[in-house]
Amino acid sequence: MLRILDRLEEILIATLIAAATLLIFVSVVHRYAATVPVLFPYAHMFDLSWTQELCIYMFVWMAKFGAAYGVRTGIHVGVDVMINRLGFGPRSWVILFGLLCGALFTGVIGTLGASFVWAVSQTSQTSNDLEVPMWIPFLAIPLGSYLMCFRFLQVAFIFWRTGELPHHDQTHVEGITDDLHPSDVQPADPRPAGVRS
Amino acid sequence: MNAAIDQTAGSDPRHGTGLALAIILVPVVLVGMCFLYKFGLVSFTPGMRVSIIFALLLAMMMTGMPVSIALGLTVLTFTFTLTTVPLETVALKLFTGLEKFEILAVPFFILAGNFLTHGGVAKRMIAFATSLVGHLFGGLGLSAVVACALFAAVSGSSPATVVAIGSVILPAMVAQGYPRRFGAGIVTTSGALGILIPPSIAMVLYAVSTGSSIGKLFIAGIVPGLALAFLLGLTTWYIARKNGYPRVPVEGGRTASQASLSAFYGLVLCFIATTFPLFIGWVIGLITNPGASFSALFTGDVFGFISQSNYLNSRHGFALFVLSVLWLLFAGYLFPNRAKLGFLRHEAANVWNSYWVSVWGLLLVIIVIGGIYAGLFTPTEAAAMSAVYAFVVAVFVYRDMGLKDVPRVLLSSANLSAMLLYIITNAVLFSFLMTYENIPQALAGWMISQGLGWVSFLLVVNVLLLLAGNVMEPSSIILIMAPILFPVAMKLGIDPIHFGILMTVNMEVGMCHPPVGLNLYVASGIAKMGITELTKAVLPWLGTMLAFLIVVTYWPGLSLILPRLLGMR
Repeated sequence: MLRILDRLEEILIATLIAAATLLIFVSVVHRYAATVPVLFPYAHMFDLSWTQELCIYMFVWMAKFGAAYGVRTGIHVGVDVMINRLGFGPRSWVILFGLLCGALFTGVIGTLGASFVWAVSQTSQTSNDLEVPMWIPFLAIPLGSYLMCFRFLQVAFIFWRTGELPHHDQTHVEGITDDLHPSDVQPADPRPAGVRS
Repeated sequence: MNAAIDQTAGSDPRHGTGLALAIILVPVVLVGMCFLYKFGLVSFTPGMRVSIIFALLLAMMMTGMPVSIALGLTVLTFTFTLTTVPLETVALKLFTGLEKFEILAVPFFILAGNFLTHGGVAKRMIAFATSLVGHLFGGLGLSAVVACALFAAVSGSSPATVVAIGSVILPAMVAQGYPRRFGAGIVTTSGALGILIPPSIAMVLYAVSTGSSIGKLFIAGIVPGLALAFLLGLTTWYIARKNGYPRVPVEGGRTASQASLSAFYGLVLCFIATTFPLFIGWVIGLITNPGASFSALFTGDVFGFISQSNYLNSRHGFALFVLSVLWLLFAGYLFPNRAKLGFLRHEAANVWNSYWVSVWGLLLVIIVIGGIYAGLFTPTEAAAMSAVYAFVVAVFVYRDMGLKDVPRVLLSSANLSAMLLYIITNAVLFSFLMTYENIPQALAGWMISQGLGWVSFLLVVNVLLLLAGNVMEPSSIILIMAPILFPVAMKLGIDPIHFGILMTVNMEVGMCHPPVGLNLYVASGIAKMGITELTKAVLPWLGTMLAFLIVVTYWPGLSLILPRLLGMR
């Protein structure tokens, strides 16, 4: 069950970022295609003025769910100069406190967001370009925040039980070292290609 | 930053119980005070309200909770207890905080950077840089600086630059007998160029939080970026010369200066070949306008390309742009490793070959900077275009990455962007609070009433940012500090673009020194060196950077010369 949720989360955010990128790309190509006389009739058949708004909404959704995923992967960084001075025991209490504060904040925001979405859904507000009811894009706040709250509680629970914290490895920020082609890791000739002669 | 935990974990597990209690209790007590106010049990003077905000934020941060959460909780507590703003606005702001199209440049640049890092672009840039400067003193070290500068021109993040260049060149440097600390020091500091040479995520964040122009900032970053690259290269050259580090051997028993000349000759040839379409445009212009003079048309094309921002939108200009891109694609496909031509030998041949191999990556510079500058795309669109382009280059041209790797790259980019976007939303909340309490205006008024001029203000800003760089990572610093400091800077007549560049250089310095220098951690992972040792290794270059920071701070012309020259103001 949890694994399905994890997987769904990952698929959702990866798809959103890919789709948004393609959307912008297509709209730029479309804009320039419309200036070429030969392509104009074809380009004119599609109205892509809504892409910008859709793209923003996609990114808001990506950001909210990605933030929840980030809790699970431990990418949200904090200031740890103080807690590093503590011994093992006291430090885990402070860390637990921090995690629970995270859960508190996201929980409050989720609840505020839910009541806000409810209020908006009672009105007939629609978005400017897409003309969808406004509460649908706003739904990202309660859903994303509650998921994030759940993730904070999950991490806190695991930390309390096992003392393990998800750890985003800083040395692999963009993770190249383990993705290198085997031939690059141990090159026969250690010099870059241009040096060989 | 978690690496630091493992190092300092005390031997005594009970150590610091009192401190831990204090860390937890201080924010709780502060929140409690706010609630007392809410129920009318205590009253605060305006000055106390302001101090409560900052004390609460600081206390929350000290618990080690994510910066975004600390920001959010501070705002939430403050709005609930000390203001009459309805709480729903906080939830709404979390949504509308992201509703600026410019912000989306951040995830797109991250995505593009990830594709470039995984796609073998860095490897080819290093080869090009090595063929160019490898035979000078400093050898591979110097090429690391040049390669970092090149990669910085396509990537908007410093740690990404360190990873991309460092993971390829450091093993090579160690294998060639350079001391490990030499290479690690170079890569840590030169990688910081990533946020100074455009595109730059830090600049996008600054622009978003102050309402400055992203395009102008990008253009303004070019000159300081190149200057810093030159200075870092000079430091490297000097250290290598003093210690007699190895260089790339010169072919055929020639002298180093002959090799330099040959490499320069190769570079000039590459330049001529790259700008070939401009000559074509000139010829076409000559044919279509028989009356026009040779020189007018020539200068029209060559300088029109770089000096008139609307040039590319004219019919002739746009055709030339498309022609240039097509030509480079054609050349990048045809030219590599075919230089058996008589006029290209030794280093010149190396430069020629490696240039045309890496031209796919270099083309991205033209797309991003040229596209934004010429008004072909908005910065966000340019970022999206570069992400798509980087994907195509990585997967279909260089083929260092398969289609099956794409979801993983997408996911890790989304992860990083979501973290940044989450800080952004909460920082927007915080700056809303700042404006609500009129803090920047009050600060500006106080500064002016104290008779502090821009000179002392910038000194204070530098110290403040360097101190902040000790505890926070750059994006949070920019997002929190820029909205507070920017109005003051404006009041004192400091140019917004100059101020942005200054902040960016400050962030660069902050990334290269402990305790939370991100570059340092990344580099220590690649070089397999401890933080303490690496900190010492970085010192000469860090000194150079600090000196450069002073220059940037008190010489606005350095940052503003290019935007002015290009008529962007």
